[in-house]
Amino acid sequence: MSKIRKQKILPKKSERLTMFRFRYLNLLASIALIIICVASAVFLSPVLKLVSFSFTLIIYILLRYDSRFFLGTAIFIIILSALLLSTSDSTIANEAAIIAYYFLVIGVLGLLIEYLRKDTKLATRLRKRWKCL
Amino acid sequence: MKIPFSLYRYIKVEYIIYVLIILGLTSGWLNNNLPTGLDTLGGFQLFDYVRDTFFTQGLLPSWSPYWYVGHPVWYTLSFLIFSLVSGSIFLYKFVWIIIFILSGIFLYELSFMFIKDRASSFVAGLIYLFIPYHVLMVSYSGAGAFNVLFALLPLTFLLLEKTLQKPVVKNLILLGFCIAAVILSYPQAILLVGTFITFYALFRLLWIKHSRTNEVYISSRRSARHTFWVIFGSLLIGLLLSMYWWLPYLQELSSMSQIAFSISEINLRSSNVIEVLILRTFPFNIPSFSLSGISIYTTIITLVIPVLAFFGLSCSFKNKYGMYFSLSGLICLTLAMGISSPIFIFAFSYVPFFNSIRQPDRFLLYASLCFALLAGFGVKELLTRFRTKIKRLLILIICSLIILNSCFEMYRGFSTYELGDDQKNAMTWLATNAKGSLIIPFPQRGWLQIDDENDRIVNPWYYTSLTKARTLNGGSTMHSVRNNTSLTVDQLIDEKSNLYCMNYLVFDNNLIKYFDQSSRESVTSAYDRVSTSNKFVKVWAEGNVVIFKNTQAFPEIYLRYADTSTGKPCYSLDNASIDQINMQMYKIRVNATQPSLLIFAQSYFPNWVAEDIKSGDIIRAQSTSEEYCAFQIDKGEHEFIIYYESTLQQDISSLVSISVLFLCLGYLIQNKIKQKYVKNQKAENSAKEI
Repeated sequence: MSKIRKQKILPKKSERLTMFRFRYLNLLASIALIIICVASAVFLSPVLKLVSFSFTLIIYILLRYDSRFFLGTAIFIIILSALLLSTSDSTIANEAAIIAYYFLVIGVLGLLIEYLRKDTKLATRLRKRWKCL
Repeated sequence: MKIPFSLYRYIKVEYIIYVLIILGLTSGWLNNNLPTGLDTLGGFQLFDYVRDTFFTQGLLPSWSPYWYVGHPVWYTLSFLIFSLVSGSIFLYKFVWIIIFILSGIFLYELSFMFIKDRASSFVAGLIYLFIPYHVLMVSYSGAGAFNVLFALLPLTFLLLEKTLQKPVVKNLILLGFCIAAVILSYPQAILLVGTFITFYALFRLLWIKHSRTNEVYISSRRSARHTFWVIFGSLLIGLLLSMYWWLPYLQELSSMSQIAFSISEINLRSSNVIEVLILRTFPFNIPSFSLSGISIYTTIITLVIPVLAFFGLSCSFKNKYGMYFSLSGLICLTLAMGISSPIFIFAFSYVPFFNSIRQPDRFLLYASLCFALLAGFGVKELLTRFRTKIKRLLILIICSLIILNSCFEMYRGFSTYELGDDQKNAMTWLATNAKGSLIIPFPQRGWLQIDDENDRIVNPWYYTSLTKARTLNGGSTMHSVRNNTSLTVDQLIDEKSNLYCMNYLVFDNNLIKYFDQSSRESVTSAYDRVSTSNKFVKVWAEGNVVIFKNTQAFPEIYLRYADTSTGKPCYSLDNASIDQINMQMYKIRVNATQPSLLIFAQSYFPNWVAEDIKSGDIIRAQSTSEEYCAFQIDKGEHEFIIYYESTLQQDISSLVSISVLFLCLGYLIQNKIKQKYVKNQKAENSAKEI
């Protein structure tokens, strides 16, 4: 019996480098967006805070970044806020927890949108109706 | 040795581990002393009251007309069975521990149904048991209803899922029973967890409708129809079984005042966002249980559960169950934040009955379930990434951290204390001399202090009252107790205490040591004012406990009339006498010198009527400013029977509930007999064939 092996077509070295750079840049961009979000949450007014978080979420969705970054950030900030609570003022800790909560919300929303994007029956139906999707 | 009744089929190793861990950590409760938890102690009084009323008057809670409204407390029935053996406080605490363990077991089974992995499900069950909010609610506050709800919530989801997978009538009835038990556990249960159960059912319906393939049915349309009927049927059975409570309750709500809370009151009870996110809120500010001030190591351990849950959330979103519990859990967290969240404020302003929730953190009850399930998903995801040996080690580390997380709360929360000899003797004296009265802690703000040694709230002032505000259910707690909580020292000394039938005042100097200097002065100055007052007479003293008698306290029944010259209200205390026939019937003899208002110091409800024995005339109750029952009577001698009249709605709803209960039980018994018969027939046939 002859075994048919699928040969992987590897990209050229220059292409691989471009892909790596692209991924690296994407990662950097997603992290930068999160940092902007945190900064806006700390320094800006509630309305601007909301705008910056919504803007980040929209960019994440459009550029298909991984929404789990938000959840990772939420976990990190919760740990930070609990440590703040045990060491210093509870008001700062609570502020940090509120930021963590915002990340949790946009993380869940991002995951939900990612899920709906995938090949579910609902998504297919929606795609058929709204061709822009 | 053979285990009887084939019980061994249902016992799993995981259950035994849960039992051993919990029994070990709650061993502080395995004695006959009083629990330190404020509401836990209140729960024992409730149980004691139910037991007394059952054995002395033959009345079951929620089934006598007067006990319709308010809290159905069906779970106290389980204590009645136990109290046939013994009425000890040990047994009461032991039953709570059993229910506590059951909550973990039910969540383990539910988690296994979703995750299909024993190890992860075991961790999920353990997390549910060790979530600090769960531990504190069971051991310290709201022990009664919340302990039962914590156990019923995973059971309801489990039965719902089983019924959807195998839609037979038996499963449907069992689910109906479970839904009824949830509704009857706590009046707010419909809002706190009922909505999420309903949303889950709708979610499953939509899911089946939109999924291409289904495990049980080939045709998704047919499956959706089946799912709809299963959900509808079980909800209907649940609603009909609990109808005896909620239908009269809706009617009675219209006659109640103060059923809603203001936003400022909610503000006082809202928790910090950090406490909500890590499920560690605590309504009583006992320093030992608060997060601030604890060491960094303890804080890191505290974060194990939320971190696992958030990790599970990020991994389980592909799974539809995970998606539902993530979304609903997030909604619960948002609502639990209270006034910090605009969604809560919107719901508080516009959603019906939402403003009757005093403590927003109660939404964490459902969030606890979501956290445990999501953490289960997270653990499963973690385990798939490691080899067997590391897996075992990882499970061991996670379980140890989870147990360590609430170990302190378990140890401190499930503790007891003992009364001193003088306190015990004072209680005995009051039991004989103030018979029929309830001992109420005097609710002056700032007079409640924390006993750091035992993590309990102490109050040196108590009073006994003859008003029927002590009754288990409904309006009594809604009206009179609310009024009583606004009493101040001045009102204690003045006429108000007379109106509240406050017959004895107890001062416990043993507890003064827990007060700081300023509060101590406030408490002791009240003592000086009471002891120098003319109306209070010292009647008993031993050790550090002193009992004063209020010589001007009003009796349970008295007359009020307007003075002809000044128009001011005058009271006649000696012209009426009362004999209690049972909980909802009293015989009254009255001699009125002029047309007056006969005031019965019982919480007002429109269904109280006074029937004149001689003429047969019926007088309907009206409310006084103290929200007592009052009957307008003419001059002369009268004999009345005062009783609580059941309405047509109450009669019909209880008839419907009983009929549905018997029908369901009848079907289950018939089904069991049929199954046994078929099994025997099969065995006989196979024997013949052989």
